[in-house]
Amino acid sequence: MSDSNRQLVAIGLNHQSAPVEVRERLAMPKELIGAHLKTLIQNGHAEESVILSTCNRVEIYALVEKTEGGRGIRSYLTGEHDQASAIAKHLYHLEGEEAVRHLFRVASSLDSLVVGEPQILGQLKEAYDSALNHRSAGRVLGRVVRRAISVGKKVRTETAIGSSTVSVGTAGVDLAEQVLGNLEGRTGLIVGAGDLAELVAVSMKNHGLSEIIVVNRTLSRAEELAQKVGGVAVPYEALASQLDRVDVAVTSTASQRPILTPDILAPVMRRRRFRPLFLLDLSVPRNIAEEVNGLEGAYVFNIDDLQEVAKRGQQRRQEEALIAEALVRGEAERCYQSLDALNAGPLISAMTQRADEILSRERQRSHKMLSTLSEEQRLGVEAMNRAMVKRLLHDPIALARHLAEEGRSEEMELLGEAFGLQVAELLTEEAEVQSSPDES
Amino acid sequence: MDDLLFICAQLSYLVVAVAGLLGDPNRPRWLARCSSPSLYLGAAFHGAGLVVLSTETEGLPVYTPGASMATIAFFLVLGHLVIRRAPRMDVLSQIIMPMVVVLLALAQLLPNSLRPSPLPLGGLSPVWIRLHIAMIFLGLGLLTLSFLVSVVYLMLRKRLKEKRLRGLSRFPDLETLDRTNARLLLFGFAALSNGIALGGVWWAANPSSSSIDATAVATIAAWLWYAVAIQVRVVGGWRGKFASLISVIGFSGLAVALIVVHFTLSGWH
Repeated sequence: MSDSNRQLVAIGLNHQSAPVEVRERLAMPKELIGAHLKTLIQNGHAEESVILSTCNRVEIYALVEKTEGGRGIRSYLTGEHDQASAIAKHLYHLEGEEAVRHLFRVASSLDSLVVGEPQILGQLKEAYDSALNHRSAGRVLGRVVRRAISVGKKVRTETAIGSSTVSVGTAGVDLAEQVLGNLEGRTGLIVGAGDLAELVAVSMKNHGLSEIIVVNRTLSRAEELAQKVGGVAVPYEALASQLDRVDVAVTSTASQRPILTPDILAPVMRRRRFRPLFLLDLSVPRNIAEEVNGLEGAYVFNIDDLQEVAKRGQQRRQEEALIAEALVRGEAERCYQSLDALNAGPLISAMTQRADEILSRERQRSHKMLSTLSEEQRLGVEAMNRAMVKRLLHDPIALARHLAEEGRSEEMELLGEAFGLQVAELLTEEAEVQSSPDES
Repeated sequence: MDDLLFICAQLSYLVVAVAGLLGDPNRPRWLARCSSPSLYLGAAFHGAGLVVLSTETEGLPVYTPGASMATIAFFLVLGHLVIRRAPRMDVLSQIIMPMVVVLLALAQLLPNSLRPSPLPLGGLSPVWIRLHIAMIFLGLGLLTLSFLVSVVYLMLRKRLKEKRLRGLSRFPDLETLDRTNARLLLFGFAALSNGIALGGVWWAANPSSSSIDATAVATIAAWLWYAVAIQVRVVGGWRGKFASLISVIGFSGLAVALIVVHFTLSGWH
């Protein structure tokens, strides 16, 4: 960065660096984030800061004094806990371009537990909004976070990182939709009360399944699960009749022998006039005889099929992640470099403004003399004046950019003084404008 | 002029066909982007080509083998433009567009600009005969589409049954394919029925100058087959594999019969 006294840091821990018992100690509830941001700024630990706290990570992105290097933030994170050193060893501390790249990876969901998951982008936006509301995100951090959010979106649109199924629950939905199309308005049947059946049923319900019927040998357990997934329980004896009307059937019982065989399902399929029936067998040993898949209209899948779909989705995401990593690396590098040139902006615009003011004043002063000229002559003089100002400003502007890139802030101050400008004031004004909530 | 327009249409369809055949992971982004506009552009050139041909021959573009191919191809494209609006049905471009390109190539190889010899009208307006031909061709186009959709349905069904799940998500679901097939079958049958009925009216008005030839017999046989298929589907409620097989067998039989009749027996009726 151009300002050699300050640097960008990312300090925190995530699911890779710390187990859940450490993460939960540092987790910051949403309603306390504002207070933490205020404390960090007021105590002088950071000039700007954004806190990202999710179930998989607690991270503070901050602009800090280079000499201090973010030590204050580290001790802030660990200081309130009795086992500070135990927590400290799980913290990572990234600086400069590395911190920018890390934030971009986080926003692009490359650092997530499930690569490609979409929630992190919303969480980052929330974290930024919170920082804006508490005036802790300034010119530098604001620019970096906004860029991170747009890079996160870009990764999602330009790669297929989020398009593949990676969980068993959604794999079940995907397969059912491949057979039945949209699940909206469809009816599902759960046979048994296993956890996996519940997971898949909830997932299907979220995808529009309108009615869920639960069948179990023990009616009370069926009722318990029905309550959880918002369905209705029916006695086990009604199983065959229910199969006539449902579109999806999920089995998950502890039975050692198949409970759905061709003998049971062949008449069902005939009665259904071969209307498709999606059957998902989540049990081991299997609850649905293999031969059922041979019946017209019956599509049987088991837990291995779901895992295969989920595994393939994960592989696909990993492949896409490689493309995304390259994209993120380039974007982070460009963003970090742009921070260097950024400080020259306020000075350049103030210099231009000052020159315009002088030109306007001189024009008024020479008004009488200029009024004797013809319109064409007046325009010629005006054009000449503007060209002169532009030429005169060319070198100072180039110098301002160069000094900003080199991080030579003292010389920038001197250059500003030559135009009667205070660079520090200009930067503060700009930071205030950038950090106002309206900006978002 | 019509040849130039058909070549432009063919090139546009070729872009869609290549984009479809390459598939998502392999095709360049620009190709994916221009696929849809190319389809509409191709349809515009194609339609314009048919209008020009129609004007040049002063009749419907169906009196020669070449013109008939171009017209059936056009109905296929129109049908595809309608059905591709359903989720992932666009993937059908992979089989429809190459077929359209081949049909248009044949249309240019075969003679297509002969002027039709005037038909006896038996006191009827010429609109009757035009409507008869248009309806028959619309029916054939829709039944061709139904055949193609059925082929995709059977292929996907087989993959699901055999649990070959890789790349399946690019295809439409079975239910959508089945529903589309049923609609195409129904509309195709309705158009064919109207065409045959109009042909019947014309035949009744001209009993001396014409007889029911092999083409008409083949068309009526196909109509009967499809009538049974629709009965089984709508009244019997049979769907899925059976409905698709009925469509595939019906169309294959009709296509073979029309080709045999046309090239070996009586020529175009």
